[in-house]
Amino acid sequence: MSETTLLTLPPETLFQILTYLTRPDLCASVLVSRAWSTTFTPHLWSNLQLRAVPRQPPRDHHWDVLHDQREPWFMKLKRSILAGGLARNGHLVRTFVCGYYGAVELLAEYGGTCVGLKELAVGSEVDPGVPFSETMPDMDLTPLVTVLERNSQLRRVKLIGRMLDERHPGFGKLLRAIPASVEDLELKKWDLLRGKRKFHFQIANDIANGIQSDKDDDKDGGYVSNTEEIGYDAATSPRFPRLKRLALHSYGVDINKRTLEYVLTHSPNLETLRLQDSGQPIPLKFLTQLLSLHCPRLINLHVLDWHTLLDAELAGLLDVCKAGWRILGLPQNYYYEHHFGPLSTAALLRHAPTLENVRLDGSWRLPSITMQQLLSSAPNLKRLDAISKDRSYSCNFNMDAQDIVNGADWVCTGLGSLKIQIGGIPRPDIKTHMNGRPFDAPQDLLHQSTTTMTASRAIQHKVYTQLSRLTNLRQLILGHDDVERENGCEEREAHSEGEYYERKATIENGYQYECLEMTLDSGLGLLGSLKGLRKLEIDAMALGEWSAEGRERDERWKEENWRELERHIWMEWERRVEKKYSDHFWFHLGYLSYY
Amino acid sequence: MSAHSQILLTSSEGTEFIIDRDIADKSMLLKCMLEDIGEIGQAVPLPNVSGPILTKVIEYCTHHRDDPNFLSANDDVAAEIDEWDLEYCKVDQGTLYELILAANYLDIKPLMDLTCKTVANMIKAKSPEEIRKTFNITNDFTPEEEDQVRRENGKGSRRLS
Repeated sequence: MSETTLLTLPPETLFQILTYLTRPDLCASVLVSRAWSTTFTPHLWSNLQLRAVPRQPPRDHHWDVLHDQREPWFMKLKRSILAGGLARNGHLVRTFVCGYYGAVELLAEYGGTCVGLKELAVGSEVDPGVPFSETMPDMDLTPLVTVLERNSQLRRVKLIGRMLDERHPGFGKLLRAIPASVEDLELKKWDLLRGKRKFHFQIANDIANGIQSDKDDDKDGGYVSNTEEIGYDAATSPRFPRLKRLALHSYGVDINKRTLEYVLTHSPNLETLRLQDSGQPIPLKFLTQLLSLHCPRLINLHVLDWHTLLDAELAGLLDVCKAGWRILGLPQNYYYEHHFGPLSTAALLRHAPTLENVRLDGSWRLPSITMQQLLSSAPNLKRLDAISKDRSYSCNFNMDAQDIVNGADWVCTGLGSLKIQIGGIPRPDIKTHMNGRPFDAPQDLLHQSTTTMTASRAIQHKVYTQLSRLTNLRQLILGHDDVERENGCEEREAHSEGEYYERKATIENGYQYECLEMTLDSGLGLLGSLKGLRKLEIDAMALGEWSAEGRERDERWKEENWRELERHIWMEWERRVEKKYSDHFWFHLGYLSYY
Repeated sequence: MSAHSQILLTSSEGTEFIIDRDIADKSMLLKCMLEDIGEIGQAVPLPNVSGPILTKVIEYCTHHRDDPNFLSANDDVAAEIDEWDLEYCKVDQGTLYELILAANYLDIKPLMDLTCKTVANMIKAKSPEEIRKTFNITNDFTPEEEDQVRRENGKGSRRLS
């Protein structure tokens, strides 16, 4: 029997070994011997992801940093392509990722054999040799069209950058060249800084006020009427029969409406739509119409940091889905608010029976009672997030314990993760701010009431009882450590007479004073039913006071009842645990990540 | 079914091994087999695994017997291999490959991850010459061929030693 060697291992086993190797390792391996070269070359070429990962991701737009680290990679690719590497190994390439448009030109010119691409992510993030401030000449889209036309099996296409402007000559051709095999399409970062378009506040306001888009063409004057070029003829067979996911990321939807229309009208099987980071108005009625007419299978929606949406508009968008939303990601931040009002709140609750994965962090406009209704009418819920990563403006959703007390039983027994602030619990035992400063301003005293400790415990008991029904919880986050502390900074406060006065504020934004005590004395023992709990965060919360033996007893109880608990954070400023928003956690549980 | 019941395995040479059920359950192959057909009391033949290798595999499963994170133990690609595992993998290359094959056949994911990682670490951060030495390979490229491969694969002619 011949000895097993590395190269005679079964292919799937060898593949696993290769996944642990970096690109330089593979480069060294192909130079070992002819046999090694034959075995390793396909792996080296199957995945061309030419992006350097900066150790420290640059903040803001420090492109130069990124640029310096990326250029050597690009030059390496260029050298190897010019040496004939792509011509010889093009058939092996499955994934091609590069942010330089120059790479697309090389691929078009030398990649004649490269016809089996499954994933293509290219664009014009920044090209070597072009200073950031310099305006680029108009881009020639022909190379990109060539590459797309050659690869009829593409599953994932991501286009980044300035070419994503439908006024660009040849853009229609580009759209037409996207193969019908595409399942996942992403258009990202239409370059606002260097694009021709200026952010148009008038149009923004008009759209926000519901004046509809018919007149936009005249107003903007920027549209080239190239409907014919884009291929508008209502095709009998859809252009993108397999498209399941469409993501528009920092994309100027409001001025690229024809593109949106083209893609959506031809994607009858679209399941997931993700709109992110626009900072721009969105022609929402237009989008809603398209979706309800052409995308009957849409079940997952992410609207991340989009420009202010109005109640009726949001309700319209939520009503698009007839089958019932599965994933609904509607996080908010301070600047861009979804105006949850009566219409959109009702629309949200209509989908409760199907909802699995919901993100409402930062939705401070959402009525607390709605959350109670959601929790008591969404049996399939797996994940609910209502605590945002960014709490700097205390724009968090706060659930009022009173609503829980008065509401129906929670039914989402399959819930795996719950991130929510529960407030409104009177806590007569808390007399000062967490830093010892006594409450002074009237609004600080809201939580202090004449309620007795017994009444407070009665409310807490009901809240614990509701939580105890969520027997599949793996992660419970009632407060986490990302709390902004402003010490002695000036804050302007609106006075009741309409005047402003300067108040020296020491506000710990996001710190919770009206929360659960989380002690056995207050009823924590009810949560013994959460046998699978793995992660508990109750940081930045005014927890109950323990006696020396009380704390020890609580700790022992936790060890005995929550055997799976890996990590819990108690409120302790001094020993702040490093921030860890683990989406990995979710991969391990087999849930979809939001991003 | 008692957790302490025992299973009889036969290696390729016919050597018999008696192991506890919970150890056999570390192998998804055996686990599924035993769940499907129940314990029939007969020996389970493992024609693809030799006696010495099976001993090694049992050693691994026994050591990790009560490991609660057994299945996700080696998921983290960047994680350090723990000391016992490191010591466990100090075997000759032939044995290491046999272990990979056995782990693959018996479907013991953590052992598979561990052994593959170990092999990868033998290649990692080495020059072609160092790799040749580690794996005892002769360079059969002609200088021209070698140069062509080097250029095509974007490898500069200078290499950090």
